[in-house]
Amino acid sequence: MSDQFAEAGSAVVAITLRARDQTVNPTRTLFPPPEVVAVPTTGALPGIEPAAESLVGMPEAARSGLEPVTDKTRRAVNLFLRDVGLGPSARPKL
Amino acid sequence: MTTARRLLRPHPAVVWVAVCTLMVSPAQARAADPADEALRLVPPETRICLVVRDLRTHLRAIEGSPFEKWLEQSPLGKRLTEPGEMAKIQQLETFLKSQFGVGFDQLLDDVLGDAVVLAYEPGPPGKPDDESGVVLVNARKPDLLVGLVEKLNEFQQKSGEIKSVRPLTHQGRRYFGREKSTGEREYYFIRDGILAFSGQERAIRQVIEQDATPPGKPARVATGIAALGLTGHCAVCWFDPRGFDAELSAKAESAKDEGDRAFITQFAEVWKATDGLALYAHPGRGLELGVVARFDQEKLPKGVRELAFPSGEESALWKAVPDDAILAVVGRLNVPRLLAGFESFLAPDGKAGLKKAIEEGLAPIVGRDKLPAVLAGLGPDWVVWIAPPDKASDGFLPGWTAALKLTDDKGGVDVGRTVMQAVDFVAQMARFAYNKDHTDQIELTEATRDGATVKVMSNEKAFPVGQRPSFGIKAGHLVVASSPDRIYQFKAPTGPAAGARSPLLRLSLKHLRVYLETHRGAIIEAAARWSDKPAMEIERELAELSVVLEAFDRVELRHTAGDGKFRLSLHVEFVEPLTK
Repeated sequence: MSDQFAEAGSAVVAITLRARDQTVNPTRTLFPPPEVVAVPTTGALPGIEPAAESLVGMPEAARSGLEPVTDKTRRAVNLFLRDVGLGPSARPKL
Repeated sequence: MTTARRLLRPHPAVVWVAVCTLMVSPAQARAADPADEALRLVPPETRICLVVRDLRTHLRAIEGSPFEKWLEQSPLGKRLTEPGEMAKIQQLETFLKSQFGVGFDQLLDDVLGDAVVLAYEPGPPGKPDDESGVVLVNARKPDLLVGLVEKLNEFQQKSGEIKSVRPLTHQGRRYFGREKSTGEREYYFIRDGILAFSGQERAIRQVIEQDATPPGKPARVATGIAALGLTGHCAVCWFDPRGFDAELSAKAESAKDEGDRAFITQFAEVWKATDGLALYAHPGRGLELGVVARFDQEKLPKGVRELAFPSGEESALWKAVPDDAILAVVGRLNVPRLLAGFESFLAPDGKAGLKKAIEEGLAPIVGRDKLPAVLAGLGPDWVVWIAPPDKASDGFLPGWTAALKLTDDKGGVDVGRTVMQAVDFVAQMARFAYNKDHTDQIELTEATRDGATVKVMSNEKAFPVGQRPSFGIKAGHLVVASSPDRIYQFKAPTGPAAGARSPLLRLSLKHLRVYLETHRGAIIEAAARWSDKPAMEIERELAELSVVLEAFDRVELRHTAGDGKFRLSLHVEFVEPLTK
């Protein structure tokens, strides 16, 4: 029975991956690399750089702040997959 | 089986859970809402809970819809349902029918169609492996479930996957333990078509304890979802913010970098003010995906509150966006509030850097005495859009326009004139920086039409064909665009905003496809140059992308805030309505 589900599951995954690849790969190609679209810059304006550094670090800090939620969500997904026999097995828990 | 059924067929895991059940007691009266009845049974310390509600109705609404009919005839539909893969899926259904007497349709309609709930409780601090989870299914036909379970247990015991199924008791209620051939154990409890299944015995015992509570008592998770306004939504993943407070505080305290510590500390304050949080997906005319958070606004830090819950109406600038725009982003801006909001997440060094940038970078350009009035006069409405190139242009790159409303009369400062001088200064600096290192030179010229004076930067080598960055003031707006014509074409809106639910962002995939097809040759040539891929490969990729894009009309990002709730939602509109 596991084989039947695995086969059907792999078919669904293949369909999903194909749709993703047909969308993502061409989209990547369409975006020119930064050097192609580089526009003249002003050079450094005084005082801008340190402020820019502070703001640039914010997305990384936000990712770190959300880690408790994202980690537990990932663990939840893994646990459910494991419990229904689709993830790596674990020791029995009582 | 229709395309919608084939594509939205149950995941094997869910199907497996649906059939992994044993004897049920005689049918009793069912709760009015099957999902609420299942939610009543989730363990009390559940921190993450996924609810799929009324899947049957949602799938029936998609079956035979204009979009499904379109998909069945489209090249995309044919690609998604290639014979080899569909055969594997069909084999599973044949297997289920032969062994258990049910197909996908009946499983969806009678077992999974009312409510499926996944509830997760993390392990205690320092013991993440002591987590537990339970899957709850409220099936429409309990008798069908009984039959499935009997057949499944018989089948798995015969095949050797299961060594034994034995009854167990908790608080006088019977549940079952299954021992697998690998030694692993799993447990389930079932009554009146409700199945609870888990790999952790304590989760099943907690379900039994919850089942003993009075039925009329509002369920914690259901109440939380209702408070977020998501009761009628098809799929909701609910988070209990209180389950993450301790870990977030510990993370803030242990952060080594001062900037990270400041950010996470402020983030933890925002989190403490969060009463509920959920992600959701819901099919309607299109597909809606979103996140909703409910805050105690009194506890929310002031700077964040003013950013998340702005007062005033929406931007009127949607009216300025041309119909053929590929991408448009529209918003309202209050620079002093935005800076205050950002500052609240920064460490002292970062705050000082931001202040320095304003005082040393911006103030000398506009004049220190005028700076507060200029900052207050920027906005509130702003817009950026990308549209296909002008027909008169030789280039293939899309054109772009950005406009920012300027509000005068702030302390007697002519904000428009001051801002124009500042932008002109920046353009001159850019021109100087380029010209001193290149033999080709950027020209900065001035042109006037219909009373609007526009500055135009031009250099055929420095800028792509068709691109002549320009700026000017028109109808009280600073307008910066890829060509002077786009500034002349800009029409300042009059009257109120476009609507109460106008989006923040709109991506027109229909117009993107038309653009890609119209300029296919030039795009392939340019992309081959910058990607080092053969032109034929790019042509093939573009054709594949075009097939996918055909299915869509537009994608919109919307934001609503009020009554303590903040919602950010993505609305995917297809070429035809997704539901009947």
